[in-house]
Amino acid sequence: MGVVEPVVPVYELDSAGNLREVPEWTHAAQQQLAQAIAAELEARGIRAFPVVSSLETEAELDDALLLFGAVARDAVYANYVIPFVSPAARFQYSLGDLSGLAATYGVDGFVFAVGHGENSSAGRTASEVGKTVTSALLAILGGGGVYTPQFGEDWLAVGLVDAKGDLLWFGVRDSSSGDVSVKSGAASITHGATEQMPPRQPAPPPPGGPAQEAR
Amino acid sequence: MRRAPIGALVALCACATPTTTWRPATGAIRSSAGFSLRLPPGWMVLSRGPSSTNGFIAASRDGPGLQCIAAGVTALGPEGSPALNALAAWQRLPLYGSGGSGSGRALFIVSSSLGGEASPPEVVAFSGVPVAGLPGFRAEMAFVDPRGMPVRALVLGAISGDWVYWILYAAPARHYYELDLPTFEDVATTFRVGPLPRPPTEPPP
Repeated sequence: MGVVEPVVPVYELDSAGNLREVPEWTHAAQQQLAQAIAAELEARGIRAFPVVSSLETEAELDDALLLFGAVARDAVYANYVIPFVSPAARFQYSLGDLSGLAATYGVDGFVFAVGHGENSSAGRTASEVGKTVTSALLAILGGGGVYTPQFGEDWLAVGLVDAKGDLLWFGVRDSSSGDVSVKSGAASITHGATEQMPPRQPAPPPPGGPAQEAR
Repeated sequence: MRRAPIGALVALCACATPTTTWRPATGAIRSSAGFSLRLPPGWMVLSRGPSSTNGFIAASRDGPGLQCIAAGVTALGPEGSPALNALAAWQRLPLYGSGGSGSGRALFIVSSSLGGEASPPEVVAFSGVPVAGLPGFRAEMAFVDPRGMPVRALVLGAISGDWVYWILYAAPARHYYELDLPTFEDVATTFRVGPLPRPPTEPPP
């Protein structure tokens, strides 16, 4: 499987709740998440490697990745936010024919991932810790509950797509801890998003021939 | 197409509470603004309710960002193309309504992947054709959504007095537009106008 570089913008969340994208964090997240996704696939016996776009493939890869973003958003919306009965029953999504790209890269399919990352600014961290400590002290004195600090939310959606463009498997996970732009955080949220991904099923051997290796 | 098993969000959103924002489309859908249409089985239609659509109809099968058929009425003003006005009205519809109280985490995923400004739409083809038995037009349009994804749209408009009754189809240019275009063409043949409406209000911004 070819692992397409994920699109996961990472933002700094300030004390007023405003978001500002930090390009360095975004770039680091994309690198770390691509490696973490490949590792999860390899752990399931699926050979995976990063797909590097070229002048010939960049436009179609971008189109497919943008469409995966829309598919991921609507799959979550139509299955978990509202009772969109038909997709929940069918769960049939496609990115369109990818056979040309698959042939170019010599793969059976692709892994696409999109997401969102937030890291709390230093000021927000101090403010949230202060609110938590204050509320804990008040709770000890008998007044109210303990405040839950808000350090930011991350999410990651991962999809396996075959050469026809059909979405074979989809997983998504959110997290309010960790940092997707560092190795441990990227590995953690990727593990969560892919934990229900089944291992590679061995292909039935063709008549008179050996089993093919999944690529 | 093969079935795709759903992964970890099952655990994430097991507490999601259903909402009534969308409902299955059955039979003819009539608008209080004086038009009707009929959708195929398996499609969902945006319900009127707290986030009122003010007589507009919007429907989808897989999700409003993957294919959307909408209909409404806009004033035939002296300014602006009626097709572009129809598309602008559709873009203001609350297509991604909030879920129940337990769906907040899933809704965060949806809302954080929305927002921003789409590129100004471009009319790529325009012709005068009768629509719903009235003088009208057919306009094909293209624009880029706020995430950078190319989108195509087709608007059929019927002109009655100072009003344009329109039915619209919008979908990602890649794969989905061509996939559901025949469905839209079928639905468009069921588009009926009348009796004459009271003037509709614009959808909320």
